[in-house]
Amino acid sequence: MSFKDAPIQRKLMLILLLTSIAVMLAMRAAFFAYEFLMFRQATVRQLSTLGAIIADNSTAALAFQNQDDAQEILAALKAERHIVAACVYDQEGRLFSRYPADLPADAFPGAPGSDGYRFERSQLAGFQPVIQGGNSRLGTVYLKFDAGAIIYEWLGGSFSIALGVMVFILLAAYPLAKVLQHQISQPILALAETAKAISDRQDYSVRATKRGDDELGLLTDAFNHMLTQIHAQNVVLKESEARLQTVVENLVEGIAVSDLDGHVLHFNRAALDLHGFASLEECRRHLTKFADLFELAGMDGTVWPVDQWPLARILRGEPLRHLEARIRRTDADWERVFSYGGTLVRDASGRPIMAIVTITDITERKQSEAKLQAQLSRLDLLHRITRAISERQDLPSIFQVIIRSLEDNLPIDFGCVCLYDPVSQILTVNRVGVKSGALAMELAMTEQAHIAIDQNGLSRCVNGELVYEPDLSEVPFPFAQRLTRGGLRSLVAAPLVVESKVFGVLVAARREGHSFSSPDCEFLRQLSEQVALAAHQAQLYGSLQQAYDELRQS
Amino acid sequence: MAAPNTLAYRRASRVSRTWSAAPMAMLLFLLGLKSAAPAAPAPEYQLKAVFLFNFAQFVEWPQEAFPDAQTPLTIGVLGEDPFGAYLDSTVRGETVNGRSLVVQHFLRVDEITTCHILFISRSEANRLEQILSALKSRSILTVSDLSRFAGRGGMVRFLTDRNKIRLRINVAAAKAANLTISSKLLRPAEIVTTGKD
Repeated sequence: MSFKDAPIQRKLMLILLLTSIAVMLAMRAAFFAYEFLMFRQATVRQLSTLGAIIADNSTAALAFQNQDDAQEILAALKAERHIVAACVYDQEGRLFSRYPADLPADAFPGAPGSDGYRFERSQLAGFQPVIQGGNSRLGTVYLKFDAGAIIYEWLGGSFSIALGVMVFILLAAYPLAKVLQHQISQPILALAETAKAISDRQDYSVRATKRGDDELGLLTDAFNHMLTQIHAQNVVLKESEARLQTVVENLVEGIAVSDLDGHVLHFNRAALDLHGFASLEECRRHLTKFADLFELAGMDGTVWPVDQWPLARILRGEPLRHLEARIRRTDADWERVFSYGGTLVRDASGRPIMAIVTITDITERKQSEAKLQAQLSRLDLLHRITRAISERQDLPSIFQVIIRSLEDNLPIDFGCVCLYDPVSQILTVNRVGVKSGALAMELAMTEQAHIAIDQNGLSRCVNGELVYEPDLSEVPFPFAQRLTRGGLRSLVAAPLVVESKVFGVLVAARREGHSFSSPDCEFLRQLSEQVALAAHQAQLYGSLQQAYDELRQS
Repeated sequence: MAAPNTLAYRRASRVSRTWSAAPMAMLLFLLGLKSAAPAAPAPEYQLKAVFLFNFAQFVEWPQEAFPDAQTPLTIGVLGEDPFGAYLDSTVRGETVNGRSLVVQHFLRVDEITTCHILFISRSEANRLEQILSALKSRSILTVSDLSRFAGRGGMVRFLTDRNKIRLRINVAAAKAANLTISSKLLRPAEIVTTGKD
């Protein structure tokens, strides 16, 4: 753990102890330097005193050339064991006597150097003049003092004392520092404790305890003030959030929120309902995972790849409005038409932070629009057929126009008009549509073919009822089975009624089951009424023409 | 053999540790021949001359021995001078305790007026008792290399022992003459009393 991450208490302790150690070391170093200097000076003083004594004692020996005496004087130096060499030079600088006596002459300087003492490494050596009274110089004393051992001894002593003092001071400083650092660390720790409690529990009503009026006290005050503000803001924020939440959740429009990577974060209630999700968990997935459940297609039926989906386009920065799409769940028979809108949400600096998609279910609107469209087109068709047949006088041509129009415009896969003979109770195919010709051959329902009326839908039809069979394959009667074999699935049979008498049936069929809507049936019913009227008029016109011809002949 | 011109050549070299010849000095002596001593003195006298000079540093005379501060310290030689030029060259230009030094030669003891150190030559051997008694009350350090000099009432005797000059001092005689000999001087010396030498 680096110092930066150490707890503040340990930091304070370390700082205090390190400071005391540094101070002690600095003081010790200063003392040491002073002592060392003093020691050297004292050593020099001692040695020069010793040298002076030797020099003073050696005057007569030098003056009267008594080497034995000089030797004897030097021999007294053995009392000072740190003097490793000493000698006396005569007036000419020749070695006169030496100590220790057995040391070879070349162990001493060849000639006396300048007076005074000098340190060479740990050895202090020097020369001192030998003078009797104030008279001329008699010779020179040389002394060599090994201060090394003393210095080491003294160093050792000094260090061990320093060490001892340091250990003692540290031992004394440690508990002191431990107690004193509480002054600083306690309020900080209390603050940290409070901050942690707040962040853990999200409870901004907690307050830190203030201990004094120092900077930490100010900090505590500021912290508490900040907490108060946060608390107040939090309350306001929560309220506004709740309001917003309520609004969002109660919108009829679905709202989806996604992060910038395409992970859906939220669906409001309406969005969940629109997609058939029971819980939020189901919607919290990535955009691409939605492709496992849903298929989106344009209004023209083209299936969109995921990167063309509304959210993908919004994430690319494209604002959307009224993008209509067919949405289908792949795991169920469920299809809706949604209108999508949305945009990227940006923060204060304009950086996008998330995407919002609005979803409106426009299935019903689309259906009613389609229905309206169909009704309009059927009205138009009815109008056109009515106009077409009013121009024609003969039945076959009227029937032909009707079937042709139905084949082209409704449209249907098979159409024919049969005439009913109430006496023989037989339906005779009168007209088959041009496009239905091939199928009619296959079904043996070509023109003039007879169809027996059994207990099938036809019997109901000839009784004046419009019959709709959504699934022919489930009707067990021969006529229905015959159509099924021809590939037809649904059928509408509309009676042609004149003066409450059924004189024919209009048959319209499609290959697809359940393919006639009620407007289709209604349309066919209206059409059959028109046809019946037209047929009736044509018959009347025919009868009138016949009567006129007979009258002219007669 | 140290020669006078050696001394002249090198002021400091007044003391020769041994009498063995310094070849260089000899050579200079032979080439130089500046000082013409009437008779070549024995080399030991060179050292003895230095010793005489050095006594001045280790002996204290009573105040009356020097009438004033400028009075020079006189080294006298009584009788035949064995030093040649040695003594003169030794003291030339020297001072002891602020006093200059002069050398005087005396033939008879009654010629001695002012004198602080007196070397009594071997030539005076027969008159020694008379000389010493004549000097008895005077503060004159008597020095000689006569045998039994110290025992006979002289103060300092030069004694040649194994090629070295030793000192034999009669402290009592010196004290009687009101002279104080430094204990330092006594260290390398042999102390005797009158009648024992």
